[in-house]
Amino acid sequence: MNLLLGAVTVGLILALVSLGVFLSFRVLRSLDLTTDGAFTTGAAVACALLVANASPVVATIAGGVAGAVCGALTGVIHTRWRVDIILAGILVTTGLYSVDIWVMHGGNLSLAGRPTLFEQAAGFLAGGDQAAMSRDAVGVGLLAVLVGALGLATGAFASTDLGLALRATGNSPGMARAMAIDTDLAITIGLTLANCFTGLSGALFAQYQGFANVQMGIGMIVTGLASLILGEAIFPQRTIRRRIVAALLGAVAFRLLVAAALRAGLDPVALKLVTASFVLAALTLPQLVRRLVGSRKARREHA
Amino acid sequence: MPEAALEIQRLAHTFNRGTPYESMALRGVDLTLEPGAFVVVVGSNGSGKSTLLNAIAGSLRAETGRILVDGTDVTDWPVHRRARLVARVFQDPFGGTAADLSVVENLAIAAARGSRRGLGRPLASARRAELGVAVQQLGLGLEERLDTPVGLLSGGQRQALTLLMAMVVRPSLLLLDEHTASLDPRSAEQLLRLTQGFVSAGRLTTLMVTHSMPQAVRLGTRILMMHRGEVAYDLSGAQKRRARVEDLLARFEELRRSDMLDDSATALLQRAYV
Repeated sequence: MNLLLGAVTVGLILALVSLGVFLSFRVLRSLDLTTDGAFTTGAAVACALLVANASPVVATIAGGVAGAVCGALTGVIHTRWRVDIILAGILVTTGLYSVDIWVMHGGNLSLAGRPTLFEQAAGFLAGGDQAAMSRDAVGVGLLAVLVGALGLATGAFASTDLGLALRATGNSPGMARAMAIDTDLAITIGLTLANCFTGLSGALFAQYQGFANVQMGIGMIVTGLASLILGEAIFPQRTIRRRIVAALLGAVAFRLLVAAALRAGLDPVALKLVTASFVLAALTLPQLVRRLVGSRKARREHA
Repeated sequence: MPEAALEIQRLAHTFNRGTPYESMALRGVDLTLEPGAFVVVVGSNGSGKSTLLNAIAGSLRAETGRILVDGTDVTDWPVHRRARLVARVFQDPFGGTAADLSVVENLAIAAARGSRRGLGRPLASARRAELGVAVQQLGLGLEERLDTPVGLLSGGQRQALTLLMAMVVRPSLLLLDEHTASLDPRSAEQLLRLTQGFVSAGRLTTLMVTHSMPQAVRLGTRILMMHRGEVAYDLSGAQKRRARVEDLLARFEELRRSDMLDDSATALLQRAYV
């Protein structure tokens, strides 16, 4: 039961990474590697503020803002200075490694008993009697509300003038420019928003595990892609709002899958290899199958 | 005298300058379009007509010369900024719309051309109804398919939608870039009728590039025939009204012959001296 609850909690936290990757990879059609850096920086900033006795709400929001700044930076490097999006993301993430260590005064920063957002919420609900509420149960409730609200807001944003401009920029950049959309600005706004979600996720993750670590974001883009693709496979949808829901649920499903695999005896060290292989398979198998089916059909028609 | 809708001054551009592939695509083109003029540009491949259109739209930055739209110098403006004044319909039906977005979403994007895009809700029911009425003008039944992704429409339907999207906000200048060329004859004819209707109803200043001589003769108030980066013939008024397909073809032939003469003269000189 605790394992299940933990998996759902982490899944809900990482659903925000999935949402960010949905924005960059699906809506803007850019592979944004800032994800790795923004996640860690969001966590580092939140932890540093908590250690300095800031309120958990402020620290969490600050983590989101830090992520947004990272995304904006990648956007500017990519659109203004014409650096390839992948390289721009790598450059920002690499640079952030130093920044994170400065922010945390080291490679690790423990929250060491400082109240986090989860404890604050549990305390609030139980009227001070924290023991009465399971920390994990409150966490799941709090996160479900938070992630749900952000998902709804993103869905509503998608059909605003600005949201449509972002979607057109990813889908048909030539058309977007012909419709007087500044596609460079649209990409920058999209990356800012995507990494704001990622930074927020990092801030929440650090509070959940009780510390931040300069390496915690490594491979986060792959985890985000895996969640997104899994969500799309389990809940195939057409409208943008439902696709957002699928991306969020995909992250939870992914964590449940991971928990089940670990429970079944998967070596935790193998997790990243398995995740990367899953993303690779998901991206290449459909083409491979199509080619195989296509050539068989061609052969049949030839005969 | 009213301000010119489009004024082009000494526009020149050379591709691959300084390489063996150097080619002068535009050699100092001067052109003035009065408001409401409907100009059809014809010319063979490589005559510079597409380069001219790209330079006006801003997707190509001409090396020298100025471009003014409604009296505003737009020479240094990027594509998206010029698009506030200049609307364009591309040859490729897939280029002018966003395939994954629905009909009404595409229209909503077009309806915001030239205004600030914020958190307004262009798909709220009242505005959605307005866009539905607008799309009725096409007579294709798209008002019943507002939520259909544009990618599921036929090439002709997409191109008609693109044309409407260029009109939803009245442009100072409308550019039509061989916009019927990739359609089947029936859809092309349908689109041409729509174009004629929209342009005359809105008194739009229009520059249309086409390969089709019958289109050039039938449409517009003025014909420009481009050749080797220059305007070789400029027919307007009574001359344009009298022009027939055979006349245009004859002029084409004339240009071609003078080219061949040039070529054979060069060959002759080469044989004699090299």
